[in-house]
Amino acid sequence: MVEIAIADAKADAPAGMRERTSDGDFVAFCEKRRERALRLAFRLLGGDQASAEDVVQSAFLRAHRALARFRGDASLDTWFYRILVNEVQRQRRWSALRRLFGADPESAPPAVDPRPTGDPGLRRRIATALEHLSAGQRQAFVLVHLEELTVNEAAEVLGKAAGTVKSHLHRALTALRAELADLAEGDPP
Amino acid sequence: MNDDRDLTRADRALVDVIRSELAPEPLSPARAAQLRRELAERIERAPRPNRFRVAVPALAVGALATALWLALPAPAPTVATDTSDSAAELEAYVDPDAFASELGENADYLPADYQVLALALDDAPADR
Repeated sequence: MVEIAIADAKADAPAGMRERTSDGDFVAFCEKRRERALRLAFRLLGGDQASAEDVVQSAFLRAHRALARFRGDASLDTWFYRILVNEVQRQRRWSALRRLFGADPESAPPAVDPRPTGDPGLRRRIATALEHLSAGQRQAFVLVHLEELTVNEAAEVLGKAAGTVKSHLHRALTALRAELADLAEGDPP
Repeated sequence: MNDDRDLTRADRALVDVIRSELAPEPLSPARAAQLRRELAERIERAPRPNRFRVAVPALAVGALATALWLALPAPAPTVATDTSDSAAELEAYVDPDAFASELGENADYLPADYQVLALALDDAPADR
């Protein structure tokens, strides 16, 4: 794995954090993971930067509250990214509900950040293709192919069997290949 | 790289494009500082989890249930229907002869044919 030191959980925990959480230690813990967490949330949310920032903040807060219950069965990173993935799911459900009842009509299309660089149309296509995947397929694809976790690490984060994650990956790739075939050729439109 | 990913060249190209396009803007130092500050404030405001947060509602519910149980009037005792036998029936049960003699005095319970026989027997000169 590239950036998440999942195997290094307990050693990675701020000193004395589990016994008596110091807010200063926890802020340092967050800062170490913020960039990675933001990217993961951004990708799981299909390119919505503002929502990704909100979700990451909520995940940090939830982690702070739940830290006393962290038993050390999983690594600290696995534990935190599981919280983050759950927060993303919660956010997606709320957005879907708001769209359903018309309380948030502006969030109806996939919110892709209007960056001055790059190709906004391509980003929108990619976000839409990811939206068409099931939640499990999207999570598996993002964690394994974009965030470069191993299948086992992704399975641990998602709380699923490795075989299930592999199945999700296969289906996700098949669907994305069909929808974004031109990109697979290495020749963007 | 991840060994679990068994990607063809085309799939790898697809994944690379998605990865490069679907990446957030790096946080500016000002924005990062703002998020840090906001998180610190939210942590400060958030009530610290402790066991009393679970115990207090449970105790309150228990106390309410006890208060209701004490405050509500107790249901009136229901008068049980006396299904026991009357004293005479009990006596007859204990002294079957008395019951039989009572029956014998007015032999209305007998069918008509037997009533005739009973009359004949009653009139028979037994003590003759």
